Amino acid sequence: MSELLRVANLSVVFDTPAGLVHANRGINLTVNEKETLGIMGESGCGKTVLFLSLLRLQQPGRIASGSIAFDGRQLTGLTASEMQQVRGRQIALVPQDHSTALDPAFTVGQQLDEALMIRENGGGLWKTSLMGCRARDRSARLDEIRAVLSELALGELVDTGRLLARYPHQLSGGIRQRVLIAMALLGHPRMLIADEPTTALDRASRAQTLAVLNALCRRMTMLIISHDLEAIRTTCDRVAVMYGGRIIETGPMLSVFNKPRHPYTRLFLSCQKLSRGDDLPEIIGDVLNLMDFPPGCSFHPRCPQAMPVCSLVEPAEVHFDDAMVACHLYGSGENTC
Amino acid sequence: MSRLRHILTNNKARNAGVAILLLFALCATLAPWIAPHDPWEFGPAFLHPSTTNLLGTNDVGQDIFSELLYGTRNSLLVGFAAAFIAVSLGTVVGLVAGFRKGVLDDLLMGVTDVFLVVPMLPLAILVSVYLGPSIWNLILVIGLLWWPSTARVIRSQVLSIRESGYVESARALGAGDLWLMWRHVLPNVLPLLMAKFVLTVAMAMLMDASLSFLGLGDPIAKSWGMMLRYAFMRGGFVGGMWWWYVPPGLAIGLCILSLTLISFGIEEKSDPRLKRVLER
Repeated sequence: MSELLRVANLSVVFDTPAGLVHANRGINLTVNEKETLGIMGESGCGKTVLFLSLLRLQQPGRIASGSIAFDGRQLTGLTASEMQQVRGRQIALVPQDHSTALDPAFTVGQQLDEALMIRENGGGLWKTSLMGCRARDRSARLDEIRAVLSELALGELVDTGRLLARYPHQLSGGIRQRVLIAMALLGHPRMLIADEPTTALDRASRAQTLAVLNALCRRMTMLIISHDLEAIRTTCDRVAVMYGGRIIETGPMLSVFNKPRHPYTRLFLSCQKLSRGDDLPEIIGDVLNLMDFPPGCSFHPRCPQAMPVCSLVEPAEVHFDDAMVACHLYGSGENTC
Repeated sequence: MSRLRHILTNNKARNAGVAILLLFALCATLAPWIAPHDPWEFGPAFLHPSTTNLLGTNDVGQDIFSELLYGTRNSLLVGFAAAFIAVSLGTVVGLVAGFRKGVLDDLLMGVTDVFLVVPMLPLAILVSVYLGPSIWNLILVIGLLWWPSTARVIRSQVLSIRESGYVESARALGAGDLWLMWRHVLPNVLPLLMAKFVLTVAMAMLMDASLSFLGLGDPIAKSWGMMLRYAFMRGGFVGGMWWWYVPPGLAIGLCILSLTLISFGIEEKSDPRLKRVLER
């Protein structure tokens, strides 16, 4: 397996009137070809900013330091127009909120067609709108759209011809979500980023969407951002846990789920593994204020296993065979004072 | 067809507006055929209304009713052409300023504010005096001075649309700025643009009438403002010849009323929350 994406020491900050917000602080991440990585964490831990920075869409935030290498190419150094060629064709995004991510002024068919035209002609206005119509005839494009839709099991669910003539508000959430996945796939991306693909859906469409993602993750590289543990469990090979703008634990999906190392991961997982009658577990305290970090490990004010050292020294990344954890419980001794 | 029916049965006030405007448009297109006389032809002056001259004649004996019909052409032409220039200009400025934000936005909006602050009519008078009286100069002057309000309105809408999910997701697909503006932002400000256009037509017609009344229009062309001017200068008002000055004034008022009703109708259709307020 070759390495497709390597993020090294990525920091993203937002300049606000109230001060500097550190949304991502020194993210290290690798994703291999054909691998699916799940990123989980509470709301506000920096997941969204992380993947937006991969597409360089993090504005008004800015990448303060670090590098993003995709297929050996540094994305941080690309010009705006070079980056435009990366978006959609190298790295595609399935947005989170299916109810706003489709343009209400166009039918589903027109928007899928748009995705194809952008892939074939770049995102410029003149090339895409004028030559785009001539470059390949409509029926060939329609065939490709139909092929992608049937791959997403939309073919048998609804009549494709009618679906393409529909406006977004006439469709159910599950179908809209899959239309968005189809739009992303039409760009033939090397890597797909799915932002909370299941959170805005009901149980039935969630199951269908998961089945679709599951089929997809066998043949392509994916990054799934979610706090839906079931979505992560059914699709991912590896997971990364984020807290306070840092990745605090990574490892193969099963080992992280079965033997979480970081106290935060343990608590995070226990919050969702409930059976009837259990007391509702909670992680005491609030999500971190990204402007004002506590000294040392940013989780220590909420950590049940906090030690004196935790409030003094920021834990370094401790590497195992195929896993990583940033916690003093696993320190090699150098970090303890 | 069902779409047309939907538009027509939706709103009584707007239907009335559309009907009045259609009537004027009909008068304008059919003027040579329905006008009883040639409005440039001299004849007996100051005739009272009669069956041969429905609204009498003016100081040089031109038939006022025929003048009124021909004047519709001029007034509508100036109104729509000037509004087209003004709204196109305003849309481009508003779109670019709202979408690009930053320094360009500050610059464009600064210019817009200057134009908004300057009193329009005196400036228009000044420029048209400089350019000389002609229809095309009138159109140009009104068109080039009346864009700032459109720019402001469009910009504010663009600012909210550029942050919407569909613009973001299209950007993530690799769409460039121009493509996003053309394909996603413009179609979504279109309803507002239409309402604004119709309202600008009304404003342009009023401006045209004012400038013509002040003698800055083409003196030979027939327009409602010019008719009012001659009625004022050649004794129509003093002599109490209401058939000379009331019809063009009424025509201007009716035209503006119809355009305003249409504009409200469009605005209400694009934002149904306005409906109850307007019905009250």
